Amino acid sequence: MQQVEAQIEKSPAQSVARLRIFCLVLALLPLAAMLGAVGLAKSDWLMRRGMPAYLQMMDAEWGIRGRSCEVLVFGDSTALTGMMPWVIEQESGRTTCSVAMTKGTVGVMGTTSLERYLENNPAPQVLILAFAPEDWRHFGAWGEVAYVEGALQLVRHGTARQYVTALVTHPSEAFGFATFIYKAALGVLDGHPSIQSGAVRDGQMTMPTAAEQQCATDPGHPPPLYPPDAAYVEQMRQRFAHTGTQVLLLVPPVPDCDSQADWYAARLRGLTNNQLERWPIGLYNDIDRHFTPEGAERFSREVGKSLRAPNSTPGKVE
Amino acid sequence: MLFNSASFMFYFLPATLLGFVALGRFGRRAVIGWLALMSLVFYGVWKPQYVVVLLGSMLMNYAISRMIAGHRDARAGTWWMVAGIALNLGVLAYFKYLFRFLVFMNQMQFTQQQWQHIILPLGISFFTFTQIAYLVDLRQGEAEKQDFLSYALFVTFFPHLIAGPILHHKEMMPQFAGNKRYRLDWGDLATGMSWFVLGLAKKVVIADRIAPFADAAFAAPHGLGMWSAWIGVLNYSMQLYFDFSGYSDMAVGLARMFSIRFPYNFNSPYKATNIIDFWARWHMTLTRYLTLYLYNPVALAVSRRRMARGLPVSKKASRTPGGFAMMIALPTCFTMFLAGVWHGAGLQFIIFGMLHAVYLSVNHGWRLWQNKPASAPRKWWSASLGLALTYVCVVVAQVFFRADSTRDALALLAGMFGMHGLGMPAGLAVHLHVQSGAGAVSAKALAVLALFPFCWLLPNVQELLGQAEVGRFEIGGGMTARIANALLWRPQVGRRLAAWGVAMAACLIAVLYYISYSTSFLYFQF
Repeated sequence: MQQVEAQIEKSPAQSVARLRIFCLVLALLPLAAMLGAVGLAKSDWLMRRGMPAYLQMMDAEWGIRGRSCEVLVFGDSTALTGMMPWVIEQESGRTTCSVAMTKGTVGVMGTTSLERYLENNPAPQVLILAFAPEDWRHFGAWGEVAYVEGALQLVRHGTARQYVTALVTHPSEAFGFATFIYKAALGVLDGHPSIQSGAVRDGQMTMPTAAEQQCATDPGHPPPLYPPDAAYVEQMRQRFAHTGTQVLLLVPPVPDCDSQADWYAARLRGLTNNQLERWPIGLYNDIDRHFTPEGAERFSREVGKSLRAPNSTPGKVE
Repeated sequence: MLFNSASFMFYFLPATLLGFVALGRFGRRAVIGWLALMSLVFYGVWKPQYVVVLLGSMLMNYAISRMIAGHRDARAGTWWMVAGIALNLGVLAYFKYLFRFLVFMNQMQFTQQQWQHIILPLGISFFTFTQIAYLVDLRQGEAEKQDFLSYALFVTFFPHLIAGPILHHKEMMPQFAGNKRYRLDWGDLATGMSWFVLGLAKKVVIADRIAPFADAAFAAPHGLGMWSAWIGVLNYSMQLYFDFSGYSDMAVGLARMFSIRFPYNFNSPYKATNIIDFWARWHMTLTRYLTLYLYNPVALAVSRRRMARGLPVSKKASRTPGGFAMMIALPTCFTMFLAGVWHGAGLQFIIFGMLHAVYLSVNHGWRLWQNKPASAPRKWWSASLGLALTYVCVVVAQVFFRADSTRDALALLAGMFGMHGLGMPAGLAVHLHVQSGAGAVSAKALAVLALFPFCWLLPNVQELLGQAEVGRFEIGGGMTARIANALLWRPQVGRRLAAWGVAMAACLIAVLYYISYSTSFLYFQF
């Protein structure tokens, strides 16, 4: 040991230069890995061949231009799985589109994708904002959401400053995102996609799982309660109403076995345009929030009917 | 802050190194102040309010150390030392044992009150032990009196603060001598980075990957068949080793980046061919601490007491039943009992300690009976038998170490010894990724078996880095030495350095691939 150390101390400048290179390579490797992940995430090759259909669908929604939709849906995954635009259109007689995202994307990017849509397309007559009962608040903490979906959208559709700032301020999640990207790329190369996707159609997704028989949440260990933020809700309503668009805030129904439903219903009363309802668990197929095709059709039909009914308060879903 | 967190590796560590280099030109006090400050930041990121506990503990011990130094030749110095030890143990007892004790009192229906949970400050055992050692060393003239800033760095220096190694003052602080030039040494930085990356890979790529198999077995220990019980326990055994030795490698490597040398904490403990050898290789600085501050004083007191009563204290005397019981077994049981209690509040930890006390006593007895020097070479079959027996004994004790209760530990042991049959419950089979029944076990859970050749035959990190020699009488010693020689860290040889660079880069890529799913270290709970 002492011999080796003595040799290092006596080594010529060349050895020191080599040691510097060794250290710098190790120190810069994570940065190189991150840059590689960002490059891959930006590539259309990976998006087309390595990403699941729902992420491709969300990615495509950023590029919608000149589409005239009388009714526009935005929200988290309850809107993504629970709102079938073609059913709403059929019931309401109004052209309907959905640009709903996942909670992870809304958590990371907020309403940026909706704003992008409104910049590039005629304003809708009705904008439906639909979120799960626990999501009527600012939920920007990456630890709380499936942030990789949002980080992917951010890298692809945000500015360099936006995504660099986001990744630098979330170093651990940044490497989680890089891992996700490399896994997806390896999945393309070995022919095994890393993520299974549900079926998608016109802005709606159905998870590839069977209907739930009972609530997935353990009653003994209920998830934390997140009270709605009235100021946030009102701000959302005001923010998108400025062009004459009617903003409807809808909370999708929850399973009848949801032990927190009453708590949320009491706090959302008066904040949202509808009241929180309880539906049979068989209409859900994932985490007590994502709808089966039957559940999504039923919810979409009720929303569509409420938009059609003369002299009714639009969005009054009973 | 965790060593394996991205914020530590990519922000804290580079910032601390840059500050170290920038302030180096201003001399010792600037460097010490910077490192102490950053170490407090490192600790405070977890729970800022517990920095107060750490600072309070340091202030208390520093004040006592001044009193001891002021009364070095007087009996009062000893009293101050005893008072300091008592106060430290009192603080430790409050945070570590009081809540469990009160819960126990409630269970026994002595009290009815609902007690508020006391959160254990991270690393309290380690920084308390470090300070107790300083007080004792100071009283015995083994440590120097110092200013508060130096003392603060000695206690808080972030590579050892949370989970050791447990240092003596004389091991670290002379390296912050006044005449030293504080600048980045590229040789030390490269060695430290390699050490850190290898430790990180042990933790993130191995320990965290096999943890779910161990967790599944310990979460449902009742009714486990022999096969699945052993697979679960072997996974835990390897998880514990790669987790803690990985942490220790990272700690030693981090200190080396600042050109500070720490004592090693692990020396391939699963290569041990007897239990005494095991404790000389596992958590070495704790073993040294227990030996110096518990075993030796008790053994000395026993010897003095025997001498006062006219009884012999020679090696020959320790071969008699009475002499062995008093001079070997009693100090061993006392030490290992406290070692068990130190690891946690609960009967299972006491059993863990006492099992090792029995193992060690038997091992000492065997040596005395054989009357051979401990360093004598052994035949391969004898060494192999010793290795297997030692490992099984260690694993049995680890069941108590990991189990949530003694009941769970006994249930798992019953499974290991075939009392629940050979198969496994179908529910657990899903968790373990194995088929229920005594049939085939999937490669995932069985992958743990592939780690044994690594532990038994490959050189450890300090041997690979040329900081220690391969033991001559280890299992596969010749092969291990040849492998160590072939892979040895020789930074002055360009091609060898390039090969190490590629290997370290590969390890780092593997680490980055898994790091977002990484967890805390097992020894943080102590």
